[in-house]
Amino acid sequence: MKRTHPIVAIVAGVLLALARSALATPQYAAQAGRTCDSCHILPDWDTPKLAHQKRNMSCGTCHVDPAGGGMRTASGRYYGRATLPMIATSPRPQDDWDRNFPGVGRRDKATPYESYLPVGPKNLEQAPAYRDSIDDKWAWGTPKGMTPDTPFPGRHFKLNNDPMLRIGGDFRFAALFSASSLVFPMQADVHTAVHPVHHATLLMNVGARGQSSGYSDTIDDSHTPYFRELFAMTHEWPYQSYAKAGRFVPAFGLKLDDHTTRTRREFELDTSLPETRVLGVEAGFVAAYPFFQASYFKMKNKFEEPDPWDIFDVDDGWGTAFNAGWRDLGWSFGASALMRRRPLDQGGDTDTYAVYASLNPWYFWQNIPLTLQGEIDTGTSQRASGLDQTKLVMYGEVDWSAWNGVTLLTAYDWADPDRDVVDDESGRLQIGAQLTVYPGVTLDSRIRYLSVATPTGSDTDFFTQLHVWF
Amino acid sequence: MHKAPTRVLKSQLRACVFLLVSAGALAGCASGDKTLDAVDPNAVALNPTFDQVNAIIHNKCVMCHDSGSGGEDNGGNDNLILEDDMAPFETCTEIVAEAESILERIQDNTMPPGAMPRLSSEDRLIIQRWVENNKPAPCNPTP
Repeated sequence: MKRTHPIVAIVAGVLLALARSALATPQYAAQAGRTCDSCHILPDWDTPKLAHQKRNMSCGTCHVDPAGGGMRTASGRYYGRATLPMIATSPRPQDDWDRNFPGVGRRDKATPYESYLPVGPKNLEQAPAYRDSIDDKWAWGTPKGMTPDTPFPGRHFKLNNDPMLRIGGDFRFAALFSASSLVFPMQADVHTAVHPVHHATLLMNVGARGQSSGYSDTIDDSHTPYFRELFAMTHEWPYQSYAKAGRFVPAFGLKLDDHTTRTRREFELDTSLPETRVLGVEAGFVAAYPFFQASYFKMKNKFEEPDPWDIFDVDDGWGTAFNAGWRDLGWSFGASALMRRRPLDQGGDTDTYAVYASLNPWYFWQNIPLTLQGEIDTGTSQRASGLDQTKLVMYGEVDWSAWNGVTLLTAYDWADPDRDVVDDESGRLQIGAQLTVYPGVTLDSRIRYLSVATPTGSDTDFFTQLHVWF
Repeated sequence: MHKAPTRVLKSQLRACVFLLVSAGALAGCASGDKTLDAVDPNAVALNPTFDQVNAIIHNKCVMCHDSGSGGEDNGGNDNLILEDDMAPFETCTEIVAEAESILERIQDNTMPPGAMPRLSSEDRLIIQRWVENNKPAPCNPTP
């Protein structure tokens, strides 16, 4: 018989303790829900009509891909520089809490207020003084058809929010300490976005996949670099509607930075792997506040990696995915469904369903500064025999931004990969910290405890990752 | 925008309790009382090949158990491997020689170590059947 893990009780205790502490501050999307310039734009603190608003609760405001992840927009990069680091933040209006210890480091009220307006560029004459803080040095040009009066101007005044050409990068180095110790390159992405005319963008993301077997393998393996994303997109239509075509990962569930979560790995959605990439079309809208995305795609045999550079290297099967929900200022809720239909010898059929949610207590009452998010997935896939197996997976995370650039987190994921099979379930508890010392430099360290069904198998390790991005 | 603190606290407490109860219910409702072999004997090949076994070992084990294993000088491994009694599993001969030990460690979930994901039921059954079939392999042609 399978057992209920005592780890659940531990997680419950930790969650409850954190929820009671009321000392923390939420981060990322939750921060966005309480930042004034999610809705209002400088220089005059105007509020665009709803159809033209870009809000940071939406993935597509900070990332070029409206489904989230990967290359950041100029606005997203600026938002990251201004809100995430311990030092050298850029001034911006932010109704934020002073999280530092008294007298230690820089105060978080990066932009003091005069009356209700942030001290920033209030008119064109003042703007040059703030130019350096809002400039994006990796963006050039203006797309044809863009004028100062064009809708979707971004929210950061003179920032070149929609440049004609923008490049970016994302580099990760990891170390894992357990029975043995590994130091390995994890990921290196180089992004390019070309935005020649208004409403049209070409995104290319070349990723060099790190090989945990060593640096030389990473460099020498011809299959290491590949098109992680390559798609053409028409976007910035009312309510942030868009359509894209090319190679991508279908929108599904929470777009977590941790690609090892079971909510991704159990359903062929581990974004670190080339085989999760599909060739297809996706359309939808990521407005304030509802969002909807639907895709139809072809994919490669489950057991083979697609050609690194030929995005048309797909096999016989097809798939479709739907993702919909509501992202409000203090909470969000979403649901996803994904199905694949393919011959059994290519991996067989899969059906996957997810519900997910997040909560930003800060929005409702200041000084409850936690971020909570969770997802529950279930689905079926075919074994090699053709019989179905049913999976059940969950993920939960609590973040606490203790100080500027310091986020403490607790995450727990649990999976039963085959509901009919005994003793195959496992749960993993992570407790760690993310230190964003300087804009674009994050150190993520976690103690991870894996609980398995066999008494001797549960174990702990320490994982740390240096993440450099721009 | 700002609601009464006590009301908000109560609603958030309810949300936390709901999440925790849901998590507990999910973990507690784990099902299944048979092995994969009993549930679906055809889930993997009845006579797995060495290539199938080698693919699993390569993906799950060789990142540590490579030719540089067995010494603190990292051998030929350009990762920082600091384990002095780790058997390498890179060659056919090494895998055949260590097969029973490998099977034991994956069945009791002590390998892969730490919080790295353990092998799937399918992968375990492939290795189990291959060992039970006397480990057929190019370096072990007439077991």
